Amino acid sequence: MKNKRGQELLLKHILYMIFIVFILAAMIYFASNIAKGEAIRKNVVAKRIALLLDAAEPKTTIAISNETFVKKEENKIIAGKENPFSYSFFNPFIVNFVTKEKIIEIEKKER
Amino acid sequence: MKNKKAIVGGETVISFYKILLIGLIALGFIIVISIFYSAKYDIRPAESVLLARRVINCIATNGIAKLEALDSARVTECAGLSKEETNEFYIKAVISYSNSSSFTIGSSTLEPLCGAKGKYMPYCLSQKYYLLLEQNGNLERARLDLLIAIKKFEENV
Repeated sequence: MKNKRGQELLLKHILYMIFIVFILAAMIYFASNIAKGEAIRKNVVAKRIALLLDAAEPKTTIAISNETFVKKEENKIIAGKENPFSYSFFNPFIVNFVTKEKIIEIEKKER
Repeated sequence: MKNKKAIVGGETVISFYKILLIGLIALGFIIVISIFYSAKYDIRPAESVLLARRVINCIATNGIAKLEALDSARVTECAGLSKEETNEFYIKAVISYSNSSSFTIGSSTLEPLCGAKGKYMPYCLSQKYYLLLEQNGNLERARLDLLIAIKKFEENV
């Protein structure tokens, strides 16, 4: 004779465990997604490059090994294509930014 | 004799609270993670040190200051500061020798906010430098008081 009550209880527990696993997976996915998020990456990339340029002296070449799209506009570093994040830098020298190759060269101004 | 209906009802109530508890834990986790990662990465302390270095190099090349270098337009150009962004920072340099001379660059409204507590306050760096000042071919001992305030709230706070 089958124990109907026992079967129901087992099914309930299995569903409950599936629910908990689902919630845990969603939490882990959310945390990793936020930590690796585009917004944070853009912020960090733009600020790091701006700081490097603040300190850079002539005859410096900076190669950016990052997948984030980066470009330079006047004295601003812009990271990301959609909702870009920009950060300004100060550098008295000529800053050549090769967007395609992601290379920045700093040269002395000709007097 | 057991009341079967009551047992089933009681179990439903307990599982409802269990699910509610898990939901609350998940919500708490999401809130904490969001707060932690939404905090911006403030680079103004590093930026102010680098700006101070640039300003010092403009005023006193090789450690010897010249009075004609104490000019705001000259320092703005020499340090590579953007003229469009002058409301984002403030630089005040006072050089004391047998006399005293000073210049300021940027928004002076930031100076009184230095030392004030709060989230949306500028980051301020105040430093003293002892250097030599060249005047009419003579070298004189001088002290440079440099104050740098950087606003940039939107990007850093």
